[in-house]
Amino acid sequence: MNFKTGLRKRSFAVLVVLAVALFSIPEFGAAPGGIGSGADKGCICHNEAIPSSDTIVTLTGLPSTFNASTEYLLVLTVENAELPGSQATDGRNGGFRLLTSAGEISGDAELTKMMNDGLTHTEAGNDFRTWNITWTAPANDAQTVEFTVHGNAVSGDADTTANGGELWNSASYSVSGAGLSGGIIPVEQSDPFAVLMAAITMAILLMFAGLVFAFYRNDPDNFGLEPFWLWLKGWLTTTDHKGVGTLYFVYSFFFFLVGGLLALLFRIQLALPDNDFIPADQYNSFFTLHGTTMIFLAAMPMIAAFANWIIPLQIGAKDLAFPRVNAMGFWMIFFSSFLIYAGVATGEGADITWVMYPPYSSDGGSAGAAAAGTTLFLAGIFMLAISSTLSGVNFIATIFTMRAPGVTWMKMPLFTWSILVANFMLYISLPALAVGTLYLLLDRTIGTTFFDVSLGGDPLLFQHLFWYFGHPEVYVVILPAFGVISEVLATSARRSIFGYRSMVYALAGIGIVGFVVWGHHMLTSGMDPTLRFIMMLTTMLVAIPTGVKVFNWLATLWGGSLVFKTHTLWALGFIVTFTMGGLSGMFFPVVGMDTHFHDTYFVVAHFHYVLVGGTMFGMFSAIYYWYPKATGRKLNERLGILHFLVGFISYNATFWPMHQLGIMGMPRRYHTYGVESGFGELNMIISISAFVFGLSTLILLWNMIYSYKKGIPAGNDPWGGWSLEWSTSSPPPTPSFHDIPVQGNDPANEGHDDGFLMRWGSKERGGIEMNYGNSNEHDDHHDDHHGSIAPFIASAGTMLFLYGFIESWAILIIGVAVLGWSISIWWKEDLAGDGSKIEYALGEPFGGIDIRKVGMWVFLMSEVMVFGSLFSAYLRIRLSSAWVEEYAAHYITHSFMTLLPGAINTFALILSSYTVVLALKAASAPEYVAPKNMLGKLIMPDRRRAIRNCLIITLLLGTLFLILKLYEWNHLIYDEGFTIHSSLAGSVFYVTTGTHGFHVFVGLIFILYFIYKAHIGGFGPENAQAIEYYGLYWHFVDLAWVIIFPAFYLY
Amino acid sequence: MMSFDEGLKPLAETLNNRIHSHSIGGKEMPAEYTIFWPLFETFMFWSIVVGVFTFALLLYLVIKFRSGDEEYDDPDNIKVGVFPVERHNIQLEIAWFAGPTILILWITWIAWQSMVTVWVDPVELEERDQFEIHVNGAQWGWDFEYTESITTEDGTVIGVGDSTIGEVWVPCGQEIKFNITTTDVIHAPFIPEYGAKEDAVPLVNTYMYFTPMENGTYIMYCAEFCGDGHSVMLSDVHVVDNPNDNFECNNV
Repeated sequence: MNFKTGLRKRSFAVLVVLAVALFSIPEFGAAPGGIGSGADKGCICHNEAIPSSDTIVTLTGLPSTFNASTEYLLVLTVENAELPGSQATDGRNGGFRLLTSAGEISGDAELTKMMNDGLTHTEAGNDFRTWNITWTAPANDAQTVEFTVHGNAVSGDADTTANGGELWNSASYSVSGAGLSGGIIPVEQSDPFAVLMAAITMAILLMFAGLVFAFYRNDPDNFGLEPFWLWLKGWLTTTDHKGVGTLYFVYSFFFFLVGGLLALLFRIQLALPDNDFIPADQYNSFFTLHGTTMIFLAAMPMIAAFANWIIPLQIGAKDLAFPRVNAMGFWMIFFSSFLIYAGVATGEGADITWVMYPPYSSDGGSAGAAAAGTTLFLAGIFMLAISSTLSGVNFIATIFTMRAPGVTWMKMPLFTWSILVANFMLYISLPALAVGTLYLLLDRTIGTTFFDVSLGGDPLLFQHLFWYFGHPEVYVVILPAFGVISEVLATSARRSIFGYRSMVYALAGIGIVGFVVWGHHMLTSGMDPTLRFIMMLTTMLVAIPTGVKVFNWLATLWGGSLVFKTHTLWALGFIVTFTMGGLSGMFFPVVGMDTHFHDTYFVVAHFHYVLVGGTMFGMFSAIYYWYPKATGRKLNERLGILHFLVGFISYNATFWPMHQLGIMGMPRRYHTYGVESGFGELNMIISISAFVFGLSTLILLWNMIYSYKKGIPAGNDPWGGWSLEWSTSSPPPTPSFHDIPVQGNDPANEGHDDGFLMRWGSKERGGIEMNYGNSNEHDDHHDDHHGSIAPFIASAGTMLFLYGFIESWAILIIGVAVLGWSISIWWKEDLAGDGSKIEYALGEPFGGIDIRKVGMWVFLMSEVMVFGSLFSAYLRIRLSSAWVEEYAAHYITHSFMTLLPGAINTFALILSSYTVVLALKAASAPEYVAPKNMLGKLIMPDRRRAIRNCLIITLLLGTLFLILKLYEWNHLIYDEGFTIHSSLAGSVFYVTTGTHGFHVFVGLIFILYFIYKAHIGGFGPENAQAIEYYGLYWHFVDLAWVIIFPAFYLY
Repeated sequence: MMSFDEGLKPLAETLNNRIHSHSIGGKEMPAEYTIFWPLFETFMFWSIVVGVFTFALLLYLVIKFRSGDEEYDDPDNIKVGVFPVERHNIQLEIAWFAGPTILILWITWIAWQSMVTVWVDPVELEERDQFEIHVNGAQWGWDFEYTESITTEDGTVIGVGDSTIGEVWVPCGQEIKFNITTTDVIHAPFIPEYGAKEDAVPLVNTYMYFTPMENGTYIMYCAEFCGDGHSVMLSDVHVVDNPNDNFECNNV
């Protein structure tokens, strides 16, 4: 099939699937007061009732239009032909529950009662099928009132069968008020969620309209679907680092505006005391989504955008190490936002705050649990973790292996250094978030009990997992801003950076210390005093390397000749605001102050000073600084300076007063506050300033659009920077360098070597002599034509899979199918490609090593952290909280039935690693020599069969492992009664071994492809490395089992 | 841990002697008569010192070394694609490594004593005469169970084992111990007046200590997000005369 038409058909299919998925979102069980809540099946006591369309629920007596404050007599009737109830003779005949959106409902005091804001029957009222109800219309008749009726038909007390005798159904009615002209709901009644969704929809429509207009203006004669489709296809399939970077940027800026809009909406709510502009539940969703959006969907992708765009240019690489993986990183984050925002469409957006503390987030509330959209939200966060892992592997591997000659460790631009350190931190901390979110997700879906307090769950476990990720995360978003500021200040002052080495060591220092400070977020959680002191000290220590950086920036200005471009202004503004944010950060680790400040607006002020005044100011600076490189035109300086002045002043006016609110004791995440609290004035100032700050962002947006066509052409090096990105044209060609450039070294640096990093280099280890030219020859790998739709489809499949896992089997199956499809595309592309061309790493210390190998090792680092997180969670549960006796009783000591499969499995996995090594040996030997069996007969006479058969044995052993696993689980669940729900022990056991089993499963999926490729003779000495790298993964999975087995089966 | 504390006692004393009330812009601020204000003032002082130094230096550099015109001034001979001259001054760099380090250690030393004040030595704690109240959080209200009897302003006697909901009476001048837990999700009693806050965690008992010094009624918030009613999960803390003659109130 023609690739292009095939691609189009498939893409169309994907779009259809996505559309179906999106349309089905509003139907999930999150509808307010939906079927999920037991109270809505009529009476509370009938929890086992069955929904049935045979039951007919009616409410009569409603007027066509109601008058204000008038009483109406209503009759509620439940009928069911199959279950005829006979009045008041044989007990329970029926039940109901009536909800109204306005006005008062009441009934006979003996037969009815109010419960959970609705009217229901009493014990005595249980005997009837008809009830008389009085509705007093609300005073405001300019509205439509909704009634929801749930009715149960019951077979009576005589019927003792458990559930068969109870069928329920619902009905809804609405009545318009007399004061309502034309049936339009007045503005003040509209749902803030609807306002938000309308605004977002309108924004998307406007963007689309603008796009269409741009297409028309570009080429009015050929205006039609064809060029548009080609354009769209280009973006969907791009794997070029610049294309992906642009996608990241547009995406992050869009969500920056969405997050800002959310903030403005709840700033209206907070402007006045006792305000009710937004109801409490929606307010909670708003700030949850605001925080999550700003961190995960705005700040991090914007950093990824600049990292994508600039890193390869700065280090002189043609592209990132793994372009398809890079594209997949973007599409994962793209689709994750659908899951994160899905709840909003049903009016139940996630309301668990960005820190997601259980047991609230795991449905533990007694009066109100987290909104239903939370489950999809958590799935979205999980997808974000996948996305960041994928992009992390890329950046780390790229910087390790693809630095051009001259770009040595200690001659690397500071922005690249900052991205490297940030990604390292992200990479090591992220698995903890993934594991924590997985636990939460499973608690909410399949019923594990990690955080279920009634079954001995451990809510603090999540806090540790989260903050082990969460604190490094704030450095992950601030370090790249440090990098930007280092570049911008040096360039603007026309000097080289002062104290380059101490800057690098400071970055590394922050990267290391950042991992041992997480406890300061939990100082008031009942932590041990010794641990509190340690966390206090380590947190304070972070200030030292940060101080070094600030003073180095100041010293950089010394003796320079500072030009005040917009990016310079933002960088100087950054120093001011970040220093203030850093100083206020010193207040928190002090326990005596933290007991007052924790979870007040002082915290809000502090982290907005470092995240907005730090990260976002850094990103603004980066936008003005690198926009010319990306588009070839400078941003308008007048608009830029206006943006800076308005933005910087309103920013400080917004966040500075929050410090005082915090001192006054205003807790954060408060829907409203009383007049007497005295918080009103400052909140009004904050809200007004917030609007100005929000509007100032639009100046930047307009500037970017305007300057794209009308800006002053920039030339290669508009600002006088030295690093390699300024040596190429603006915008750069694709691939970004035709020949790999060489970075020079100022003669004054003679004798400055890279210290131990240089000595660690490949030459001393007798490494391969490098030929920098070799990877230039056939560069189809990074060719512009190498687009791939696979990342897009794989990410869509992941989203559908997660969505289906939570909401519907049908979509789950579609998701699996789409994932399978994407994998098949991936394999086809691999088969079509030239597998023998290997790219070797440049520069120390990995010089001469296959880039894929470095990538695999970096990936395994993340895997180590995944299992490390699982294992430390296991240890915490096992050692510190109630490790339920049941585990020992049911499981280890008494059951040979589980010990034996476990032992066989250990043997099978170790053996399967051995066969992978045999396959590698067969593939990599220059001359294949067939082995002989004990009888001296040749076995596996040729190379092709040897590789294939060894791999098949691996597949069989792996399958044996999974079958035995299933057998063992089956035995435990059905014979021993040791289930995932029964205790924390069960949850930890099944989730840890299940995660491992999933890794085995993924390994088997990929080995299928290897077997196929071996079968068609696709492996030989020239590409045997693929088996080696697969083997690395497989050995790792085996190793993980070797640790899990004694921990769960023997200990 | 305990032996650390011994050495810190004198320092704690000096800070405790500085405890006082505070106002900003004519408004009385909360957390008066707690360790909060001495700590806050110390940290604020050093923050202002560092901030003023940094910003003054920044302002000076920005003005002194600004580019007067667009003329290219190029002391470091910066060329595209060439790593520029490395500028460093080891004395200066050590200075601004050592300076912050000393400052950090100094304020950590000061901060350390707040451990002594906020989380007291358990052995010593046993000897102290505390008024213990069991606090239970649930969505969305607080339940207080008394272990000693107390008389409210209007003469009602709350007995041992009695509970009050949504308001709590505590005696003036005596150390109060909240023994906190929750029956559903995580909450956190927060009384700004005493700068005191501690999470209520299910299945766990946590403790919060404070000493009211003035009669009156103060607000207690929930500081850990707990759902729709989070912002209305308020309680009143009524400080009343102490029935025990050993304790005296600081009444103004």
